[in-house]
Amino acid sequence: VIDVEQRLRGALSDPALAPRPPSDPVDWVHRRVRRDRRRRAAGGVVAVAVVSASAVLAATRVGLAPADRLDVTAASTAAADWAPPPAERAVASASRLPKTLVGVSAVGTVDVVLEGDAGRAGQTALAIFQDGGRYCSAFLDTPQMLSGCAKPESQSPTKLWWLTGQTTSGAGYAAPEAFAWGWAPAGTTYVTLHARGDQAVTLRAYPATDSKFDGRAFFFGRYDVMRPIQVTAYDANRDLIDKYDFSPGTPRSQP
Amino acid sequence: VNTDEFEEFVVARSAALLRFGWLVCSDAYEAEDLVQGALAGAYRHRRRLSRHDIEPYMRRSIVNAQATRWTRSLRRTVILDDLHLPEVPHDAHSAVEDRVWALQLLRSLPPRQRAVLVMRYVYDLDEATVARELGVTRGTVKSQASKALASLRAATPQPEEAAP
Repeated sequence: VIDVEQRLRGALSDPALAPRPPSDPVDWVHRRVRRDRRRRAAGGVVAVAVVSASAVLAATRVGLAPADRLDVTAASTAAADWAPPPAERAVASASRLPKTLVGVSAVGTVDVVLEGDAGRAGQTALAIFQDGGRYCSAFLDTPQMLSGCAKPESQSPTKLWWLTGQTTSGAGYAAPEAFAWGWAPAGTTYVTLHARGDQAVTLRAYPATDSKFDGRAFFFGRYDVMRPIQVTAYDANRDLIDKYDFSPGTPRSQP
Repeated sequence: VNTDEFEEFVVARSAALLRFGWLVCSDAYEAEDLVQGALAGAYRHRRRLSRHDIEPYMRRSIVNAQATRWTRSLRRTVILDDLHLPEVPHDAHSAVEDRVWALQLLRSLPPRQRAVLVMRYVYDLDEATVARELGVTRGTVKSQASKALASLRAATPQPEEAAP
């Protein structure tokens, strides 16, 4: 019989497993105190923003950016080259979402990968959607929304390129914990993720179907990225292609 | 505590509280929201709190806030459906898989059962302490832990079932 208590202890007892604390916790608390005061003064009305896969698709297809949708590109203005066109900006809707949609297919046909929950301010949501050859990720967080767009053709096709991690500033990459994804060089079939103290986890890499991506591969799978991690790309024969140490939320620098 | 003491507590303990919040709700961003809200609430009542009881008060606030969220069905987190993910080979029994297992099962439990499990088996607090911090009886702690462990066992395949 499996010792559930023991396994629970073993799985969760590492004190390093925790969300990244705020850099200025006192300011963090005071911001919340001020926000709560404003809300009480406004009669408790709280705007609820929800990102939905259908909203992403609706926004990208129809090009609408109604007032109740939020601009996810605000945080990515520093990387103007990566900002999606206006038609792709509106991915957040203030409407309720009954169910979260998740989908992934081979790169080149990926439409939406979205994980999140519905109906509360500060909910988490993540979307990767295609935007004229770019692959964009959008993330909604409390109190701000972050977004980033990956343009794989602008990265070296022979290097690993990491898209996941905890919420960051700047380019604004974000991911829910327990999931990892990124780009790998052409010929990559497997990507292993290995953090200190953990056994390696192997993820399948999917070759891009669009020729402009030089055959590079997209990997996606379970991994909770809470600490620096070594990522290694292998081909089908398990021969090494590339290896790099990443910190959560920090993509590899451009070559 | 006065304002300075409260801020000292925030600096010293917010990371630990975030970890507790994360274990209680299984979501890093929701944990930030829970802990930030609980600290903001404690700030308003700081003069009624002593140095000794502020941390138990915080843990109780976090658990209560999570329980309140839980009762609002529209505000529950929708769990990612594994069936929609691509098949990938996993190294068996890895620490990551164990964490994913533990967090998924914790997510499936009602908040108070989850809090009892976290406090008893991750923080190693005894039943009396958990009861005091959550404002319930020892019998309630015992029964909540028992129900939670039974749910976990029922949801965990035994080795012979898990073998291909």
